[in-house]
Amino acid sequence: MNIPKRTIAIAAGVAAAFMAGVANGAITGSEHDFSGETWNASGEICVVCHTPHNAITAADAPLWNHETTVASFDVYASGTFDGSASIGQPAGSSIMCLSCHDGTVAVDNFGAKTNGSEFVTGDHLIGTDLRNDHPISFTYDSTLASTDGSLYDPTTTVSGIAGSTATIDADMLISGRMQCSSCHDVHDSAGIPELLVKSNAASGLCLTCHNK
Amino acid sequence: MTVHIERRILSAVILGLFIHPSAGLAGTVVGSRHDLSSATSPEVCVWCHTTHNANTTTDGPLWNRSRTTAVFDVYSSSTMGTNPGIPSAESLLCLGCHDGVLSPDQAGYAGNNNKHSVLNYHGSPDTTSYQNCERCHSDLYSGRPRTLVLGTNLGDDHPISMNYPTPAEDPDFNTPPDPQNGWGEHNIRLVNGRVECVSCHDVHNPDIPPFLNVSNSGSALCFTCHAK
Repeated sequence: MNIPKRTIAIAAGVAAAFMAGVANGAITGSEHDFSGETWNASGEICVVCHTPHNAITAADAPLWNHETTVASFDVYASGTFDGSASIGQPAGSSIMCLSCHDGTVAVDNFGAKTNGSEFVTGDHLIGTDLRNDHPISFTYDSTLASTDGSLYDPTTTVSGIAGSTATIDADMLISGRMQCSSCHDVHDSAGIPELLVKSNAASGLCLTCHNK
Repeated sequence: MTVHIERRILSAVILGLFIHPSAGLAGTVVGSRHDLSSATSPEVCVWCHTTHNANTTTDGPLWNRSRTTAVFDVYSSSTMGTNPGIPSAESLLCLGCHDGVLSPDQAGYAGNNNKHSVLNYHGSPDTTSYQNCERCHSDLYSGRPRTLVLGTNLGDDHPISMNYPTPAEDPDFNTPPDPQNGWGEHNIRLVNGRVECVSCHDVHNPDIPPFLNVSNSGSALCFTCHAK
């Protein structure tokens, strides 16, 4: 089971919220709750990304229901970035995020629809040029931390995510790789603005990994 | 006339047996897409149930169909805390039609695996008329959406026939009030602690399309189990 341990803590909080009478999980009412949009006639939330039947099995996400991007991306590079050896085209779950946020696939291209007209704009538009964005889909391991010298060892450093005592590797990485989901929770379980997995007050999220 | 009266009585008896007790409040299978009757095959329940000579090798009450012998590919995911097994007997009843598999003798009426076949009927169901064909082959005959064909590959469908995860197995799920029955009748049901087709669907009640136990407005059905 590859479920990050931090979700245990989050789920405990969610369970407590349910006991307290809160109706739904935190995606309801979040920026990813599209149930009230005119382009989403279903009035449902999950359907924009997930479906219970006839899902897109090629996608690296459970019961996927959204058209996935086939764009070619310009990836991050820097003379001081030691993860270049393992970085390539975005992979894994980050493709799911970019399937709206690269701006090439309409947000309303879910179900069988492929001619949608709602596109991500403004600050939420990442585009296909990822050279000005924090790198993703690269391997972040003890070796990288050692090589770089300014990164904590993800296998021994705790994530500091609320309620968790697990490591960066367990809580924030997927198969040892940094992805969009390392910093962002698409389901907004923590209820932190920008769908962050932990608060970035005093740059706490950045300094989880970066030893600066 | 005698035949018609008998059929009415039979229908009434079967309705009394199989429509759930709150039928007066909830919807009815009669007239729904699971009502396969037509003028020339006027019974409703008979497409699944019979009062006599039922198939006791299935899990369905007084079942009037053979069970599917298809082999299914099941759902899997690296993010799952528990894994589905082969479809359980309860869900095989649904898949008996929705697997979309026709036996080699599909052209004939008598084959037990034939979707056209029920085991017992007073006379023969009319499987040749437009009115009956349209019930399932609606995309071909009426232009309505096609009957849901899941096929034998369930890898692209929500997993079934798996134990509902405990908090230790997967913390992203809400804990049901009853570990065996889930949220109970007319809600998200578990079958002996397992997620099955009937967890979301009520074969007899079309009120909330597509035969849902509860409304999925705002994804409420999903969120009953999924803590997101």
